[in-house]
Amino acid sequence: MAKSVVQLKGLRKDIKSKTIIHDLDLDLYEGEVFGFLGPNGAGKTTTIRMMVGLMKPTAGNVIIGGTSLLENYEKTISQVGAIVENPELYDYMSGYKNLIHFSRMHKGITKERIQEVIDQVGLTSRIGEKVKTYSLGMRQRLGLAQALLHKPKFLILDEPTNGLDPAGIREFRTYLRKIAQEEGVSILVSSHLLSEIELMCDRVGIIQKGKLIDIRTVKEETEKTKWTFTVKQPIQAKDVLEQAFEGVEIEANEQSISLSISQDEVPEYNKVLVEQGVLVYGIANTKSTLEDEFLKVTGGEQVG
Amino acid sequence: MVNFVNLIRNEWMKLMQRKSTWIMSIILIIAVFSIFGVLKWDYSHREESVGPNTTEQRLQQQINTYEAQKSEADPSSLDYKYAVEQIELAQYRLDEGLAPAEVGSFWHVMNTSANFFSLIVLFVIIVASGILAHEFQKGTIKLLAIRPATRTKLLYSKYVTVLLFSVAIALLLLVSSLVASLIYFPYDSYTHLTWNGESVSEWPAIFWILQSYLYAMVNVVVMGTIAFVIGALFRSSGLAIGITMFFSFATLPVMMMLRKYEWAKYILFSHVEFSMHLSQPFVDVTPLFSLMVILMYLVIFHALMYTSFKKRDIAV
Repeated sequence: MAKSVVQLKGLRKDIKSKTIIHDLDLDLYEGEVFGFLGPNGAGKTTTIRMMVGLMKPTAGNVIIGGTSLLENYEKTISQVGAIVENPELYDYMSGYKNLIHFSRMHKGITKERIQEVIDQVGLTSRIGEKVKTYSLGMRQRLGLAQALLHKPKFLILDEPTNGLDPAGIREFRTYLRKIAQEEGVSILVSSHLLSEIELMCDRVGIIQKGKLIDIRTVKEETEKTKWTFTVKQPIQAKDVLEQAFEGVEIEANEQSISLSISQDEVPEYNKVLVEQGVLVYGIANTKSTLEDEFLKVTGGEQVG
Repeated sequence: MVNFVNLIRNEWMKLMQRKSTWIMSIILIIAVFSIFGVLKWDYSHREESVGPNTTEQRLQQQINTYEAQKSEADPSSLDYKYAVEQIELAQYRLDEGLAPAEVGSFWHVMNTSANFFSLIVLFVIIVASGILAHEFQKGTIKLLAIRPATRTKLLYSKYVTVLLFSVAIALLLLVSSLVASLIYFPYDSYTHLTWNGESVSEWPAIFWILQSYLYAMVNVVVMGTIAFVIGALFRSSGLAIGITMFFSFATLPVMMMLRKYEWAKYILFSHVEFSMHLSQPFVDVTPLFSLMVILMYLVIFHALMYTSFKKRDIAV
């Protein structure tokens, strides 16, 4: 695995003698998109607030790019770009003035860089207008722009797709993956849309009652999962496939067959079945989704 | 890491982008022009006063009045000192042929423009209350605080901006008063005189105006600081405006109530009306003593605000 950009070491937060976050340890790596999942009130935002210095941890430390946030605040925070909860910007100013404002707070951000970011987030035509005229999706884009201005090593996005339309979400996802891979940025995304996290992230951490209870790698497309083919002749289908592909375990049911293969292999299997005259009515992936696992782990509590 | 000047530029930009800042400036200009207009109307309709009507006669009458007051007053009292000062100044004018600022003349009206500082205090309280509290109320403090600028720098860039705004709006008052006076009133040359206990000194008229403005600025800075500190402590602009306005209105009554006590000269209330040092001395303290007391209170307010702002979490 690539080198770690962010390390949370025994991070704890007590508010009025109640422990909100329990000794959190977490490493985030270069080029990785990490998903942060948890029900309402689990401590996601509190953890993020501690990572950006809005809240002081009761114990523990946040190390970003090798320096400690608590000991060397200005140097450490200059490597972080973030949206915490809603992107609250100065709505009485234009989008461009907002970006000028934030660019003055970092070193060496040129006018060209500002324009580049505006183009990247797709706000070019409306950037001169006051933010109060923006839709939630446009504010979200401007929020992303201010987080990217100074080319951070670590990007924190709290509920980033909130207010984006489906096309916008897809575009956003592609963009995130691109900057993670090409610029080696480590990205932390918190979202209540589990299906999205699943599509966007390499790893997912599940937090509940202030404890990080599980970290898992999101399954790749080459990974084998369980697929069900609904067919007219299950026995025949089983025979055909066993002949065509060696070492595949196939379970024949009354109306269907089930087998463990990767997503890439599905079309080939289907082709063989069709060529051999098996009538295929449907193909379904019966892998348990992250959502099921998430609900299992958190005991089915309401997801924020 | 971040240039402090850049932070001030940001604060100034945000202040200038707010509509309320412009509304306040326009109100000030309208107030100056309309009230000076009323003054002009009033002076031109005034009945010719009965009594002496040459400058010399009026000065002589002034001397006679204060001579009478002087003879009745205890030589160690403030009234006695004040009477001596007035006699010396009037005598100097008679001897040197320097006319006093006549009511309705350019410089007399210019000097009354310092009264508009009550409006400036109000505007500065509004700006100082909101400059930090608005960031909390709108949630923009989050994106502001996660930058390579320490909280101390953020806090003081805002405070410096409040001070800059105070100076800017005072300059606006000066300029609009100059323009309004030039339009409405006849220009008369005037030399300002001061008495230091031994001799009389002459000053250009503009020094007289600037002195009134500077003295009035002390009150502005104190009220602005109180509003800023309360805004930072409670993170609510409404509360800060309310409490500071209350302070401002309570000043005179509290001062009157407590002036008979010796310890009253150590409380802030006795000194915030700093302009009193220009008119008849109100309490037995020097301007320097007032400034020291005010400074002491400001340092305490800053210490309170600084420790609170640095320590508390930002959870909006």
